[in-house]
Amino acid sequence: MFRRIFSIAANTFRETIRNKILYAILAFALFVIGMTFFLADLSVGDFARIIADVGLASIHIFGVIMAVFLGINLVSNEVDRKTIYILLSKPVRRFEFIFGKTFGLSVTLLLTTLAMATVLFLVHFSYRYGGRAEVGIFIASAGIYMELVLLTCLASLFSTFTTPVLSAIFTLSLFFVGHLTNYLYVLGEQSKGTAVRWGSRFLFYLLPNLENFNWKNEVAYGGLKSFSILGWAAGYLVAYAACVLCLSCLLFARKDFK
Amino acid sequence: MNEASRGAWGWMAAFGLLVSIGMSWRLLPLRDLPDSGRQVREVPGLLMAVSRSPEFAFGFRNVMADVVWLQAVQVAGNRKLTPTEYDRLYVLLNVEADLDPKFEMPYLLGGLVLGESPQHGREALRVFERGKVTHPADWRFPFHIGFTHYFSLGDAVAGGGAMAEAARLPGGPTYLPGLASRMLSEAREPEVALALLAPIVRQESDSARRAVLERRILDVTVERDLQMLEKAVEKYREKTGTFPAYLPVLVQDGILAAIPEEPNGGKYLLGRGGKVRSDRVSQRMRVFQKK
Repeated sequence: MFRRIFSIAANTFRETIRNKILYAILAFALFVIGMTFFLADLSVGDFARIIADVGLASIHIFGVIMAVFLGINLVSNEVDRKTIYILLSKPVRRFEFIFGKTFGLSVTLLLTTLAMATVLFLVHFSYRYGGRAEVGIFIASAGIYMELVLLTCLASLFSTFTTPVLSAIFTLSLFFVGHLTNYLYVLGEQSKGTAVRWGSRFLFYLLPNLENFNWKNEVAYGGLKSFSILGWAAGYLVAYAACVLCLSCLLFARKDFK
Repeated sequence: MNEASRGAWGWMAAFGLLVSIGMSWRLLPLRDLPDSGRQVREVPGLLMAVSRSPEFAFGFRNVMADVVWLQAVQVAGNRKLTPTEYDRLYVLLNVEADLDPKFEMPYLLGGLVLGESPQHGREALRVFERGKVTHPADWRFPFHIGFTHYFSLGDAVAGGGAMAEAARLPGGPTYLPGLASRMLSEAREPEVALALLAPIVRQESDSARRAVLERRILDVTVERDLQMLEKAVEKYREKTGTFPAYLPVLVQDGILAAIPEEPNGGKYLLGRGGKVRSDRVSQRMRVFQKK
């Protein structure tokens, strides 16, 4: 089973890494990160903070673009090209296909995030006014990567039952909602109605909470020193991603390819 | 596509770019280009809306705060700001603080720049007060509040109080308690200055700082005595129509119970025009202010 998942993941990785759009997005992201070196000069005091903030925001934005637009085509491409029939006629179970596809794209995202984070680290380190070797950049980037993996899982979920355009809309909607769930919880707690309070709590736990992966703010203040703080977030990612992937497998298992 | 047609497309692209550059150059003088932040009066509409509910920054609060901060720097960087620009700077600083309350530089720099405007002293205070709420352990915020009270609003009592508050916080320079007491003394309330200094001295663990504080207490005590003696001299003049020849006359006349001892071991002397001085202290306590 693991061998088959790994084979599908390896193929997906090769397929996505050859995608020219991925390189275009990555090149633009690296350009923007590089430009922060000059942008920081416009500030007064805390110059390196501008580099960290704008650089991490770039990694986040371009990472989300990559995750969504590669993720929505994970399944639909195979269906459009009819290669799904060949794949599923072999001794490959449907859940192995979903797991392999998601895992393959996650590896691609890992490499691109790592490349962007490394460039940002170097720009931050080489900045002449207050630049330093800020390990928090890698920790915050790891948080961003976790968010991207979750978005990939969500995109693959939507791509099992709808068109790429709708998948993109749904995934991006969940990206925005995922950054508002804390607000939803707070609003619910302020309500006097019990039903509203419990309803908001239910939605808070049901919807993905992407703020769990957001440590960009801490980098600006040098508060991120250890990767250990990623532990709970990693646990949340594993649990939520497993839930989404199981749902994807369920929907994909019921899909009729005749 | 053969070599010749590829070359043709390339030349056409280059020609198109050249034409667009020409058009752009032709259009340049027809547009109003702001040469600095001076001409830009609008407030950051979208960012201001987001700042009211920062959750809608979708995880990009910091970078939005940076954008607003860079705008504020452009406004504050003008050599001479108009009242409208001070207003805009105040708005930008508030938007920035809503988005990233922990960023201390906008409070410190923005507040100082606002304090330069005679009409924006209160706004400067509000900016510093916001910073103080977020950074309660940072002595610089009450220090700048005191600075603004004293130098922008002319309120020495409030200024001295804020300086004394700054002096109680860790990390502050040794001169802060002295500055606080000087401000309060100039406000002719050295008793208040002494009351503020006493707990600061008690809490001070560093011997060098304690010595400085104790010297400061002596200075304030001298100022208190001088003011008290000058009041008594004035009372004597109102009673007799002339200034007393010596200070002990005040005791003989029943205006004072006793002449206080000069805490540095010296003497209090009566000068011309009813002014009293200490023979050990050359300069009266006063925060010098250039106007």
